[in-house]
Amino acid sequence: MAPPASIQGARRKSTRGCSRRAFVLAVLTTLVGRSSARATALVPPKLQAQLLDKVVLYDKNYPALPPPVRVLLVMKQGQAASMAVVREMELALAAMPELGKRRHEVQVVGFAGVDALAALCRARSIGVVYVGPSLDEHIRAIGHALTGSHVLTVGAEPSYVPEGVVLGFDLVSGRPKLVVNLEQAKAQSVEFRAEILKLMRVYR
Amino acid sequence: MRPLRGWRLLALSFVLASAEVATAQDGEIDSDLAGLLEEQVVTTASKSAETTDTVPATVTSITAEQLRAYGIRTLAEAIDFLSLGLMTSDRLRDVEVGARGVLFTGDRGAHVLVLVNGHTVNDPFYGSAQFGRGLGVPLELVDRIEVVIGPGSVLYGSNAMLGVIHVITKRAREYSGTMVLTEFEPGKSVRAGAGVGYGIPALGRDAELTLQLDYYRQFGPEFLLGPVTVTQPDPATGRPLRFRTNGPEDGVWGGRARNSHWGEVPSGLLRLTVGDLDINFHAAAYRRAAPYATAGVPTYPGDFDSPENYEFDRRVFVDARYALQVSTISRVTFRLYGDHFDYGHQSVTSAAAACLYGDTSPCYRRNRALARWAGGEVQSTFNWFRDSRFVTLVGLDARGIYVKGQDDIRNYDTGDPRESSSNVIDAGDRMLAAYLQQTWTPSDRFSLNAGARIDEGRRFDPVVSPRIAAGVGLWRGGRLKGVYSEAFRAPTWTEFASSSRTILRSEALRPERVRSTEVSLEQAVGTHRASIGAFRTWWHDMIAFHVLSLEEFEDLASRGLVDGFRNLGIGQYRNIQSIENYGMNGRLEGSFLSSKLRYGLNATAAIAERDGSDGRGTRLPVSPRFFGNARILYAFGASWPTVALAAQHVSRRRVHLLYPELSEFVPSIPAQTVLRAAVTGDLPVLVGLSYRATADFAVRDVAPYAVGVYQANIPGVAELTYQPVERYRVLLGLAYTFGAERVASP
Repeated sequence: MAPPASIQGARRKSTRGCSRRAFVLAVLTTLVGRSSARATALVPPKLQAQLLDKVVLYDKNYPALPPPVRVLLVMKQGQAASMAVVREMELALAAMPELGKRRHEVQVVGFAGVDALAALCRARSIGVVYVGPSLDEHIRAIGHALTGSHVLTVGAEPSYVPEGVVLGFDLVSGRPKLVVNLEQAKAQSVEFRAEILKLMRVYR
Repeated sequence: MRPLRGWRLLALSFVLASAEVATAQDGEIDSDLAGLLEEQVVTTASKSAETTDTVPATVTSITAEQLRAYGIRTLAEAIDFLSLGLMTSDRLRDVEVGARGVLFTGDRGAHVLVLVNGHTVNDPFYGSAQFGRGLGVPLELVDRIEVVIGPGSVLYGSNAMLGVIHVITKRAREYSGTMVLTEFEPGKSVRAGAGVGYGIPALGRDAELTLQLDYYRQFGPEFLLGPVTVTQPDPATGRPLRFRTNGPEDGVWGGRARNSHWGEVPSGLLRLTVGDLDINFHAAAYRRAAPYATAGVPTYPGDFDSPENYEFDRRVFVDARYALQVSTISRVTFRLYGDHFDYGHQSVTSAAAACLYGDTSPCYRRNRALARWAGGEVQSTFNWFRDSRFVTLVGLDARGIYVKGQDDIRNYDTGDPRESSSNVIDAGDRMLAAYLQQTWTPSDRFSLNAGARIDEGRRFDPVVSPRIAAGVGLWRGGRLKGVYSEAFRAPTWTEFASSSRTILRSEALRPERVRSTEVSLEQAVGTHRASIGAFRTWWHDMIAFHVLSLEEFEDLASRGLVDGFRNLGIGQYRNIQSIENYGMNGRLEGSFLSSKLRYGLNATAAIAERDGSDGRGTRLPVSPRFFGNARILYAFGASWPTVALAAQHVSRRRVHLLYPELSEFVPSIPAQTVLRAAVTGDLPVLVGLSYRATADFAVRDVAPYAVGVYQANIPGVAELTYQPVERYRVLLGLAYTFGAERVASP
């Protein structure tokens, strides 16, 4: 027996309502999924490069890095936001004659896994690793993998720092703010002098 | 030995200050790094993040730290104490804003564009914006305020003539936890607020929400105005005028205002960010009254100290923005928005001649306006070489608008209308705009920015607003900049469509226009920055209310277009004014002792003259020829307070009169200086508990506005009453953040 018209109508309304909610959720989920990558770095890459050039001078162990200082920029292949920021950082660093008053080389790679990254750092004696956007879910693993090495990791996103990157750049009231993970810095043989630590937001 | 004088002493001080940190020494950071950490990244002037050396305008970026340390309570105070080039004037009901010596009294803020998180808050009915408590944005939520001086229509369209003010709120990591606060000015106001800032892991690592709800209530102070006795009788009754509801017919206006100086602002601002999706929701209702109110018939002001005189406006907006990086060189931003605005003004008038002639009862004069608009914007950025040296920005903005308004006069006793509603407006409108901007920075020593925007609406022909700016690096830290820009303001619906017994509907009203040129020299040395600049602006087609001459009136009356008897004093909004403006401004700011000690100084000197009927320039009322501010703060650090001092100075100003042409001369009020002392910090007794205390002192007790019954200066006949200024103010505030931890580092 067919249900009464009122129930049929209610079911149709309910079905339409469920469809609308499902559509909205699908749109939001799609946007969320797409938007896990920020389209812009908070601090412009050129300013990040300028800050990095100065900050490394305050790492007591920076002079011990073999010359030239090798800088590895890691991006998420196929993720436009990540590639854009990393490419701009590459050009900014390459335009600088020196990094922390030392000759430097810049190389860009796509992220191919934590183990591959750690192996590359060992093989090429990488001194600085810049972790581009869209690699949020790998930060902790990257931190674990580079523990015991002598590598300064720098994050494109300040949110990377509490997760396991040593240094990051935030923007507070339009001014750059240095962010540091002291525990991770110690694990990666990065030792910042006291006078710069006073200016940093410190995560322990 | 002769003592050093003036500028030589200043220059020597600057050199010594920079030499102090010229080289890195043990225990100090390098001055270059210190300077980089003081670099301001701004986004408003060219809709993209850039440092101030390439920004194509003069910009002040006011930080959250400054807002807190100086005890700033409103956008107006931030402008007055911390900004270059702008100043405000408080009319007790609303705050007026001027820039570079140009201030338009009674414009409701329509010549300054105000943005909140990228959303324009100026309404399409009046073009109005609030700069005092009425803005309804809790300042604890504010990350920074970017103040761009000069025409900004190239990217933002109408209203951005004097400048653009952009209020940008904090992300959750700067506004984290749950906070409650309370503030009070003894005997004058109270405020309570609550806010939250949290990440939302369920929606992803970059998902977060900030929200603050606020309630502000003002109940005073009581002012003494006049009293003034009007000897002329009420033409409608032949008896002395009555200026109090159900009061005596004694011709006395003024006294102590006990019931009519108050304000109330409930408001809230929510921001939800999920990766590159940013949603803002804002609501604010601003209800207020001043001890005096114009009744729409300036000769007879509204009843003095009536609790039934009030104004309100309510604003709600929702704005959703999504940025998508399409490729390594291009990014697209989509934006959808919707707004609601409504306004009301009521005044009670017991002067029978101000109501319908022949009826001796008091009347209500009510003015209502409503506007709703919604639209979308698409903006694409092309970073062609991926190094931000050659960037193209294109955008399209379209919105549909609905406006409605009317004025009514009703019998106070019966509520019956005295006549048909006037100034009735019920219309739809639309606005379409397209803009293009090209930036080119071939080297660190040269930058170029050129752009234009075209706006089209039903009420005006298409308007093009161009801008071109160039910057040249001269030497280390030194930069020379030049900017040419234009802007416009579309006629408001009041100007465009008002029609009543006293207002003839306008014909072919054009947008107001301004052209501006400026040049500036900027120098940065470590954490210190100085700039000096010169500017010249030309304002034309400025809209003003023109009272018909006798010849014009008789001509219209002969053609039956006006009532020959009842419409004496009729006028019409027309494009009839021009203003010339030129001047200089300068800024000096910086820090010492690892930023524990911060200082700043801003100054502007300007001439602004409106063309007079005799061909000679007339100074603008209320607009100062010199104004500026100075500030200094010291942060003792740890659990010790931050102590701050600030001062704002405004030079002698002409008084605003409704009938300057009837005056023997327009008087001026002396210069005004306002001093502020503020102490802020965390209370050591309880983690998360913070306080602030401020004290203000104003040297003068009058503002440059004539209020009340006399609006022309005729010594011996009409004695002016000036708007009072509260000279002493004290504020105390406490805030508590739940779950706060002791900060381990700055």
